[in-house]
Amino acid sequence: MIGTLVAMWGLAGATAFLAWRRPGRFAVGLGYAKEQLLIILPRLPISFFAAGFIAELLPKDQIGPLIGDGSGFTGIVIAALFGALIPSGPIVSFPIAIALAKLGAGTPQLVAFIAAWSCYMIQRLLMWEIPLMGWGFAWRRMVASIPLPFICGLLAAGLVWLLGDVPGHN
Amino acid sequence: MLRIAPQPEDDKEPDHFRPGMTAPADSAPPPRRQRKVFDASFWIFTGIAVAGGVAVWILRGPERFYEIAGDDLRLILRQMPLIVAGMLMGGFAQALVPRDLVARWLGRDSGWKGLAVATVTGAMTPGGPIVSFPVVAALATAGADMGALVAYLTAWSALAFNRVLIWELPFMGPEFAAIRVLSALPLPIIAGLIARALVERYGTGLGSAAPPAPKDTAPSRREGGGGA
Repeated sequence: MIGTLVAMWGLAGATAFLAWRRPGRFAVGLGYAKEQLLIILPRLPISFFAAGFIAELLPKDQIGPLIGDGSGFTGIVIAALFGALIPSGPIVSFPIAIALAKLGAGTPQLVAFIAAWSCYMIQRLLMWEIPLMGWGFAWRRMVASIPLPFICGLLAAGLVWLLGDVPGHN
Repeated sequence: MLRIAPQPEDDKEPDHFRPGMTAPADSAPPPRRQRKVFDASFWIFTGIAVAGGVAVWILRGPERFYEIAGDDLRLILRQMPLIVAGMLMGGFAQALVPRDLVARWLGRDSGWKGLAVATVTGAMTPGGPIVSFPVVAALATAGADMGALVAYLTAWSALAFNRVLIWELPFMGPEFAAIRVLSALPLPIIAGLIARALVERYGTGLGSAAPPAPKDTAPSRREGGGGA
């Protein structure tokens, strides 16, 4: 934990130094960071509380087996479909991922959830891809992305089988 | 972690294309929106959190409510310094990585090498869509290999080292992050290959922008822009 903290602030310091050495870049970088922080800091606690409370209210006994360790490829498919439906950035998807872990989701299923959310990029598709590149590009990328979360979940299942599951995960 | 080459003439605001780059006039300015801090999504989530909290209080009792709220609060407070560091890093890296460089790397190779370069470049591209999408849009209309562009976008979103640092390491732990990244490694290549097969069959589906002169003559090179 302390190690991660030192490494992260070290990297932040290094990039700040590099930006500071090039004219104008430090202010631009600080501006980007500030913009993101202003959006994320007020939202983060709220999405964690929302995800935590909703997870408590959901029937754990019924959802757990659907995407749990024993759910296999069916669980990967269910988790991926759920991930595909999240039209938002990491502020929403990661609290949900943590809530799913609390509900008993298995590691490959969680990996498939994150892969589906990140590969399908529903939010970026609507806000960036279609306006900038048009439908022609967008549908080709979407079709090319369809199998990815399932492949990713299966590979994760293979890795869990090979290396053992994430510690602390039941 | 980032490839930062000396860029003597790159100190202008990077939110615009270089004049020589091939952005068509109608797509040139990226839709840069200044997002409001307290917008509708904020209040919707606040509503969900409050309703959820009230429901837990009533259905599961105050003790369970305080337990969950305490767990979440501890998680947030513990990760806050990491998130702030990650945001600063992402911001500065975003200001440092010149779009020209990404464009040069992406438009250069085709075949397997093109996919591999696109995967690495995409994984290393920091920040949000403001950096990546305009570059990809410009390259797409310039007739770059769509397989490489799809591989780049997939790597940027599915591998996303920046997101691993800010979200996955702190919240999900290093073991989970390692398994997730390892199993996502082949995804950009797979998506790129499928995209190439689609282009082979249906064309690129992009407008009539003239393809640039190919810089290499690898036999697998496909001319873009053929779908017009």
